[in-house]
Amino acid sequence: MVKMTFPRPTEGVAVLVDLDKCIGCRACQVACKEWNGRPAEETVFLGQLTNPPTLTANSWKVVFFHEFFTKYLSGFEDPYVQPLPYNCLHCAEAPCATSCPVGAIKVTPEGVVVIEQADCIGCGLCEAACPFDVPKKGDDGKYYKCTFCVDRVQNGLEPACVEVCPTGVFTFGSASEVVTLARQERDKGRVVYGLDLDGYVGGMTRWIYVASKNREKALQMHFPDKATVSSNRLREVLKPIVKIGTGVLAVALLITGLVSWRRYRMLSRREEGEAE
Amino acid sequence: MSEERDVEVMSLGYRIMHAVNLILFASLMVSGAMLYALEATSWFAYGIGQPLTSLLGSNTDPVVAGVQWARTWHRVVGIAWGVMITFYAVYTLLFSRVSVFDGLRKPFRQQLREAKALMKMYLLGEPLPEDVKRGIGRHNVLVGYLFILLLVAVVLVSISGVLLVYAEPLALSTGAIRLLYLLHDIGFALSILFFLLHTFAVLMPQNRPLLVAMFSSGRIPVRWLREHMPLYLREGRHEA
Repeated sequence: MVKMTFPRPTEGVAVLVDLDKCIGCRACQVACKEWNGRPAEETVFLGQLTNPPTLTANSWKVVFFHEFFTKYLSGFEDPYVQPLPYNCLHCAEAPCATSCPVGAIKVTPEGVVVIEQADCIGCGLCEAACPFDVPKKGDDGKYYKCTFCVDRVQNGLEPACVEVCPTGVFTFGSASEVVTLARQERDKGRVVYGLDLDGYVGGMTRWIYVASKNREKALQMHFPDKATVSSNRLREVLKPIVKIGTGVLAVALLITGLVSWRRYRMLSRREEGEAE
Repeated sequence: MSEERDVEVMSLGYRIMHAVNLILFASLMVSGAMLYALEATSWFAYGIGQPLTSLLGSNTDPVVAGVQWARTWHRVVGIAWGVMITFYAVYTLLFSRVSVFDGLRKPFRQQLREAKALMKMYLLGEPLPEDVKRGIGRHNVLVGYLFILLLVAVVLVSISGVLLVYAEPLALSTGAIRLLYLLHDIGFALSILFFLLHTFAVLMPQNRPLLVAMFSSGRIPVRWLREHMPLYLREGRHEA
């Protein structure tokens, strides 16, 4: 786990994802592949619309289709398929970045979390640390995930997926604006995911989802209740104890050993003298 | 038995095994530390990575190359050591050569008294009471306790380590991998604790003959044994 300094959650950039506007066209999924030069993947029939079924090393953005029943005011229940465009959420304090043993996961001043491919050793600790199941191992043994189109963002452009969306699902902007917008939506009674999360991810993510009440189920089905990985949290607690504890114990034992040896020799000599 | 004589307390096989264990265990701890806390060990990773990248003409960052080397080394040595200690454990169990727990066969109250007296000796420099001293054999109670600590640490790091190496072929779930990382870390922490306590005990000047014997002939003067392992001498389990 590497010590990192993250930009404050309200600094940098963020995206508001309005699920009510998503029609599941997958234009974002394709644009992501195109801009980042990721090869196509052979699709398989899985009895569901989501394809590939998870994020992969070559599919950094996947539109998930969650099926559930939605209840109308009349009491009528209707089967519903809610598309949910999904990629790395770029946590405010990304646990993947702190868990990387070589610091290969960098956080830019915009708050973008990027895997530096040249430095990745393929250990998989980022995958284990991520509560959202994002980083995926490629055929070359290295890990891959969404880069927030950092090359575009740093040149004043929107991420590729944001730009191509035909229905304006994504609102890209400064983090402070997006957070304010998300709070306003929540005040209107809509459901928000990505704000007020666990401290493990820094309290929020830079991709914030908003949906009306009847689509809430998709968010519940897709995201974990608690944005935390308990075992990794324990590892984070254990590490400073081990590091500092080892040094303190080593010094303490050295001093104790020297003092006790001196005393032992003195007392032994006294005993020998008394015996004689 | 003449006080000037010495007797073999550690056999050649035992000493070779200890030396191999020491080298492999230390190398696993160093390579593990490079993966665990690079912020404290990057200088070492650089020391390995720099010549490696120069030799291979690679553009990889020397520290990253050093860590990658450590990761590969950790896996290879870990498996080699695991195989070796498994064979050794089976051999010692089959031929009833396990004596490290002898001190734990004593009644619990006696164990506690011995442990307390030994702790006082190591930490406060108080010589052992005569009755406690008389009851000390080849391995005292603290050695038994320390070996249990080592056993727990080795079981944790070895089982979790092997499963982590083969996580993909075994199709382990992310949840299982997360738990294995935690167990591996706990095992590593216990290994460090064992290493520090063991090093502390063997470096105490009163134990010097043991340290010298372990890395030389395996023989210890009878005079020292009479003072520190009288029960062992009385039982006559040593080889003259």
